[in-house]
Amino acid sequence: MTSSGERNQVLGVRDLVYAYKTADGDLEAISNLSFRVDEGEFVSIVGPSGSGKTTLMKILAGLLRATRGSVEVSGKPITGNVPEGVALVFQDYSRSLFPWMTVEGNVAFPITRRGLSAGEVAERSRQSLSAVGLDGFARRYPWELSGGMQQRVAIARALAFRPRLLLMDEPFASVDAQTKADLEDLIASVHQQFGTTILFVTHDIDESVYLSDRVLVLSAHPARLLLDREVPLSRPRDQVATRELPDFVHLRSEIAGLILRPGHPVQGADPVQTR
Amino acid sequence: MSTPTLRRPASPAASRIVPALKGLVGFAAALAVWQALAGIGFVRPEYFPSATTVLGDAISLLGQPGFTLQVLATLSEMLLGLLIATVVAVPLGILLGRFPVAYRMSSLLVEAMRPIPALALTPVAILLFGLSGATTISLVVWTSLWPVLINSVYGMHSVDRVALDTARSFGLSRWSALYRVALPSAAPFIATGVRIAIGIALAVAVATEMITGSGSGVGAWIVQASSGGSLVPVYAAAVLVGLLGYLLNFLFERIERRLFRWHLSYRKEAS
Amino acid sequence: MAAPTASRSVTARRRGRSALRWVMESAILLVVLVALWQLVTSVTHPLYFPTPAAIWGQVMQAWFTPSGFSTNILPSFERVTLGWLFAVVVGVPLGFAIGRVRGLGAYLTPLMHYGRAVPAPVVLPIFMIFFGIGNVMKVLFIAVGIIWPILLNTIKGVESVEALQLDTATVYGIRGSRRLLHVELPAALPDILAGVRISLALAFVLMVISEMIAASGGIGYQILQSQAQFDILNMWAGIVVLAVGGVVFNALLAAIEARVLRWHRGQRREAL
Repeated sequence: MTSSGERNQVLGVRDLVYAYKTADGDLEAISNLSFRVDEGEFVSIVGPSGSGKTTLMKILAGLLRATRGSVEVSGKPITGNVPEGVALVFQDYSRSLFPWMTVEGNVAFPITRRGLSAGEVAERSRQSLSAVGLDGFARRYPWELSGGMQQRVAIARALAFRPRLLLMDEPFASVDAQTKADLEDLIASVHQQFGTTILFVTHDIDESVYLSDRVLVLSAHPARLLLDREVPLSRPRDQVATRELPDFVHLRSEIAGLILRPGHPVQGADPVQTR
Repeated sequence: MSTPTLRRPASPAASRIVPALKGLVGFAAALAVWQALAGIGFVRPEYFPSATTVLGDAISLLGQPGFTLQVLATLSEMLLGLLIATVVAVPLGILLGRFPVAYRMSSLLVEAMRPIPALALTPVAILLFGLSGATTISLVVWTSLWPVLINSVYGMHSVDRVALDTARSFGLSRWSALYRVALPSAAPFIATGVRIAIGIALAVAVATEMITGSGSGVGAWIVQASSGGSLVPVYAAAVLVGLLGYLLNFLFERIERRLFRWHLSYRKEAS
Repeated sequence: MAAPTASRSVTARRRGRSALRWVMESAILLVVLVALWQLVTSVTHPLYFPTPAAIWGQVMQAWFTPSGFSTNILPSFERVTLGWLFAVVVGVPLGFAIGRVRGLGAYLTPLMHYGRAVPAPVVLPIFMIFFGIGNVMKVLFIAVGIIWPILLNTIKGVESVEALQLDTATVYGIRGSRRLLHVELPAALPDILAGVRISLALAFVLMVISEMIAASGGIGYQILQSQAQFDILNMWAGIVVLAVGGVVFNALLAAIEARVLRWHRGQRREAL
């Protein structure tokens, strides 16, 4: 990254370690992880299953405490407490939405009683639902909707929150391929429209390249940073055309090589940039 | 992806012993509070005896045939009633669960009869059966019938249609599909119904014996005992009958767990 | 997934018509049986089984009159309602408190299972010594006897709230009473209401036995007295009144449940 100097850092992770206690002593799931995410950036973290991606997300959201190292959100260190202005979209939409609230209720819930008037809350909810293409579904219940639509509700809830940092943990891993493509384009357009800073976790290499400005590649057991790379693709991107571009194909195979054949660096792969 | 939570792998023995120990701590704490409250002495000890007095009396009761035989009488009446109720309710429940028409036609009848508390029928039972064990049994049957019936119907409704269709497509006849597919998948629900019935059946059996005062059963024994000046035997009997109910439930749960280990669905059952 | 295009008025009308059909269908067996009973008893005149018409006449004459209602029916249902409310008001918050303290349930639930296993009638003599045979005793007896399923189900409900729902609340900074009332309580409500439903059935049983043993008045007392005086008609009338009361209470609870758990039913229906 060359332009990073002028941009505001939203998330700074330094020397992060997370270790489980087991019968045979401590087992590191995350090992000395350092990276940063700047304002307005769309950064993906891609890594094999079991690379501690969800654990990392939980630490960043304040749900888990890191064993060592520091995490700063907007310059404020988080230590076990929940950072202000961070929203998290889970993979399991059906269990993270509240089934006893309507779609609108779910979206409005986190922003109610935060000094906003009822009218402002309603307006923000409406806007967010509109942004994810759910006009007219406000009064429905989440369980009346398809999986893809439920995940849209979760995204709308996060948008209404106006987070400084939006964390997304494999958000499209449990929907069908067509829905997944739709949701990818949705989140890309939302990113453009709202300028939201997004940290997106996935195990899908194509998805990470297609969506992001920058890709972080993690290793498995324990999670280490293997690659931190800008995505040299212009926006807006297209599900078909972008994926055929040489830059896309090249970056994808580079990442695939790192993940699928660990220990055999692909020709031309840059050394890890730690910023 | 779910967070991998690695825990110290507990041995099967430890995983059973630790909760049991915790439960015992709870019991010990309750007994200590009881003992302390009784020790303050704001109530006459005949009416509010200490835990040690009651436990001592309970242990001596266990050696008295005059008590244990009554408990056995109640237990056998209750179990017989439960058995009759199950034998009647399960086929009925399967019928109602299998045929929506039958279910719809009987629903109001069931809804009208179900809320009649068994004890309200005590006088009818006395008229029909006199002051005998049959009165107790008949009321246990009445009270156990409904949870078993409702849960059997519920179990049949929750049978996986795909499983049933698969069985049929493999050439199983209607009856063997019912017998081999529907019945096994409904069985855990039926068992839940029986377990709910056990809880209330014991209460109804004891209550009937108390009302009829026929001289048989632990209910009659308690009425006798409470007519003396001291409540200690009543407390002791409560402790022992409670233990009996607890053990019955515990045993049944163990059998259930053994039989239906394959049953994965989370059952929104009532404890 | 529900078809979002279905017009509401059409479905409502269809639902109305099918509801009527449903009521008529579901009444068939009840009507047939009562008719059969009427037919048989009016011919054979069995000693212990009066005709349904006669029983209903007695109900209207002796029970559903202003004085019958206030002296016999009201006290009984008052006891049930108060004892039940008492158990809910104490049991739900207590169960909630226990369920929220992680690990506490493991110490206390076996004790509560034991409490539930003690058949309440056994301790009736103790309640009579302490509180006499009046209303206070009966209400307390019912409350203590039925609190266990409420406690146990509430604890179970609170302990089994989805971790992801709690995490979501945490991430969005929802704490304190808002978290309790809008996340934990609704999530535990299906379990809590299951306990409340069981306890209602139990409350009726305990009301009847407390009235039969600690005789002073009420439906249970009247039923037993009638039998002792060989007033078979009035005995049956009392039973019918109890059944009607039970149906009414059940229906009320079912209506409340249907209202507050609409989401739960819908969700489960979609999951099937």
